[in-house]
Amino acid sequence: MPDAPPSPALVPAASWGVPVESFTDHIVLRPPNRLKERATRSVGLRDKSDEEAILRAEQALELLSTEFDGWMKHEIDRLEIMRAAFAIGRDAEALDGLYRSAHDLRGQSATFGFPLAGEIADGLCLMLEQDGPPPPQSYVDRHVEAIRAIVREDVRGREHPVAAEIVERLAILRAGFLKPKD
Amino acid sequence: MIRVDFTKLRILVVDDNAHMRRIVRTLLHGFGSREVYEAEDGASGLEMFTTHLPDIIIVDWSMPIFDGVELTTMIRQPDSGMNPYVPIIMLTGHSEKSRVIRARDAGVTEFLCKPISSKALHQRLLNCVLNPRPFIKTRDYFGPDRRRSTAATYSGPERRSKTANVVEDTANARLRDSVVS
Repeated sequence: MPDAPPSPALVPAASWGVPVESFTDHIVLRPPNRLKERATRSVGLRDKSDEEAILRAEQALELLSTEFDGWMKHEIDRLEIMRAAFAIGRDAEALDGLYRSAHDLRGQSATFGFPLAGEIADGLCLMLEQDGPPPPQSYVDRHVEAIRAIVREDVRGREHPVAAEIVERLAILRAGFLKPKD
Repeated sequence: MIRVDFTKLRILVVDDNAHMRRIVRTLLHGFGSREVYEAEDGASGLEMFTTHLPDIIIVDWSMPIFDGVELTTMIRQPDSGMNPYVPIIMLTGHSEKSRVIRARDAGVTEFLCKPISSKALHQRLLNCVLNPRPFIKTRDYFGPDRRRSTAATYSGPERRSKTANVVEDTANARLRDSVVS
């Protein structure tokens, strides 16, 4: 139940006509769901349009996947450029560029068909995210080389024994650099 | 039963990576969306938010100029002339619990981890349209209710009466499980 009026500082000047419930230390605003009014439709009990929409999207992504090898190569070329810049500069700007590139690979590699490359990129990001001195160049190089090798050898999925071993060894290597989290 | 009609949704995708924008656009078109706008950084995203008035925003975390969390904070201004209640889906490669909580405390509506899947994106979009949460305003927060369900037995901290931005909350693990799938 709403209680005492809130401090005037809590009440938005422009509340967009939204009903407001006031409590001592907060207010609750319930915007009318105009999106639901405008962008929904009634369907029968046997309607499968949600499942069909998901399937259509997956098929569209499958068609797009013919582009993925080229995109992966582009991302790896970018990572290589950033690695080289970091090796020369090792400053905040170079680190940021390397991190952005590794971060993009962390998020996209699995979609492009190379989940183990994504795991290695994730490990590289963890080292670059850590406060304090940046990781040794040799650590960065090993991660970048491993990602390149996985794509060069066309290692898709997670089942390749050598690639899985590389991922494991890199994790052990990183453990010597990463500080334990609180 | 009701279904979301994606042809009537206007969606803005803000991501600095062109490949990821293309993937998200492809999925959205597959769902039926036709009005999909793209921005490649937070500043352009804010500009397109004001000019195109999207119904839903999908935003990356790491971007140049200002990032997805900063963009969310700029949009979640209760006195703004633009729609501060717009649903925001954070689509990111960051999956750590601390990041999820930061995004939530900036006012993000839904959190979605890469690699992206058709089903997960579809589910987050349905949530935005069909199950919006009320908005809460305290002295230091404005955004969707951070409690996804109302439990009479809630025993966590009463953060609405506090000024600290970061609160240790026993519900965090459950929250992460519910949003990172």
